[in-house]
Amino acid sequence: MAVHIFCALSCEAKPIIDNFNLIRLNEFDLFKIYQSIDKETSLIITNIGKVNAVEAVTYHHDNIKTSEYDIWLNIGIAGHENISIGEIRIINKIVDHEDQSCWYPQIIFNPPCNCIDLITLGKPSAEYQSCLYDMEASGFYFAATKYGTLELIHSLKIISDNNKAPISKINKNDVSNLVKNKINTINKILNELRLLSSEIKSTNKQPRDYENFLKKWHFSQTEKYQLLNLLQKHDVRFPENNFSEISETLKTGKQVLKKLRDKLNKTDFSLH
Amino acid sequence: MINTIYIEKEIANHPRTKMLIERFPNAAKITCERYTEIFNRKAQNFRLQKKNPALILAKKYKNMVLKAPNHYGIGAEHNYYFSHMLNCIYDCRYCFLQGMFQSAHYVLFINYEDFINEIKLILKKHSRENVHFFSGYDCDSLALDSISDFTKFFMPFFELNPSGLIELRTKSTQIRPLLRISPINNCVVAFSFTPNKISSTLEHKTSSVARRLEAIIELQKNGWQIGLRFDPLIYTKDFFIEYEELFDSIFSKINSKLLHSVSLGGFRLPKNYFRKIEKLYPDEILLTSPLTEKNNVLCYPDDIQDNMFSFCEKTIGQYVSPEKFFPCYEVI
Repeated sequence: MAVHIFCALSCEAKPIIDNFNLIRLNEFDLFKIYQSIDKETSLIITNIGKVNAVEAVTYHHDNIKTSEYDIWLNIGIAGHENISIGEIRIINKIVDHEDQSCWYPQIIFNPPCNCIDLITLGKPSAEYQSCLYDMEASGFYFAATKYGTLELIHSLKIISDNNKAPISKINKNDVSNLVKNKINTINKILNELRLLSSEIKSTNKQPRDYENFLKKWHFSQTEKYQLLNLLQKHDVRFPENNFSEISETLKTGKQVLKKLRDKLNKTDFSLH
Repeated sequence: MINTIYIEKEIANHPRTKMLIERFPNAAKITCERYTEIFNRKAQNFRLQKKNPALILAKKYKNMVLKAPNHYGIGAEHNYYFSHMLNCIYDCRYCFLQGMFQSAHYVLFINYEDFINEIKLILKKHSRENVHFFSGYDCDSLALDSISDFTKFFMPFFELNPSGLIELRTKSTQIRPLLRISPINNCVVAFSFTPNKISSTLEHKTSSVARRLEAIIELQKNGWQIGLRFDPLIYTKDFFIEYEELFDSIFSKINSKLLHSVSLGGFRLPKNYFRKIEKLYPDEILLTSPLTEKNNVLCYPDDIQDNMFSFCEKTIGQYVSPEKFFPCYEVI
């Protein structure tokens, strides 16, 4: 599975790019995209604002191969009335301030940090409250849920400003350091999400010999689906038994399907 | 056990909501407008959510009590079901809930009073007849009773309304709330069973057959009416041996004369639910069982089904009189 990371600012992205050894993909110029050599991790700089976040997610999906098993992570800074600067939170509710739409990221693992709700604003604000403020999460989440699995899409925010230390007091280096200091927590969350991702990915493994069967016999689209389903069942019922040997003499795809059905239905069935 | 609780704004100040929240001081509490904002959203994965389901406290507005399907019943002419909760703490691989919902979170409708009001209307409608109410259709009736106080609230109502009988369908051994009160004649605690080996293969997170039997014995001692539910019957090569052992172990331990009812039903799943479950658990051997399709329902072929039913009917017939026995042959 691949990991797709979305940061609004280059200074938020820098420590992540360094940590995962990501390289800029120069063929994409609408948004800056970085990727690891093994293509397992990629990062896009969305620029500020929820509209940019929506466009960046769509652009990323259109240009970088994504799947339903992938992990989608929005990482950035956010303000809060009294949480200490540098602390990290995982978001469990996102409210779009403009239209009051709500999203509820599904945190089904034990996160290594506390959870909190967040409001995505259209413009910066220094009126801190008991939830986090940012400018991208609602756009990111709205767009990412079109392509990914809800349980694998999350937003992580590092507190950059509060009532005692307003945003005007921090610079790009400070932001990079805030993110850099939380790389361990980010990695822990990624590890949890990788476990979940691999669990659902394992449900989509192709049965033995499926591709060979498609090469050897002709199957219509419906028959291809039937073949996949029957071979899957065959592998579960007879893990030691190789069906391709039995089917060697069969002449058509239809005969293969019939033979598979017969074997599954006419052999004694044992649950244990 | 519960790390996240979603709470509908409208019932946030309901005393039952407050009581429930107090029981999970460490859980994250998140308010929402309607539970459907979280439950059953597109792109959710039931299998992943089942690893750590959240509790959703909600209010049910309509369709509180529904007519049960025609063939569903244990002796009354009028049968209804209601679900104060959606989803179950257990993880039985044959369960239709995995196919019906995208989401594995537990939804608890806390407006019990509204359920009671609708039950009252139904009892009034059938004022001179017996009416049965089934409570464990979309959930296990007792599994979360210690936190939901379901029986604490509903039992006194049924005690005062004897023309309505309530069935608590369960695999749970959480019977303490029932043991604390006097037994009610018009309540049947109905335990579901499959043989030990089948149960340990398919009924994840449930208590063992032996523990369920202990619970039955305890409830019988205290005067509660017990039902036995062999639904679904699960086919395997050694079906006859495994089910014979199960019937022996049950009927040798419990007082079969005191049984309220015994019912049977074959494994069946609507085709679209079956396909969803196949996608969630492609390695599940149950789903490779010999099955056939009848009216968009996947079930055992007639020869297997007939053999299973006739064996079970014959064996159970040795212990239970025909008027207490309710086999359900229908698949839809």
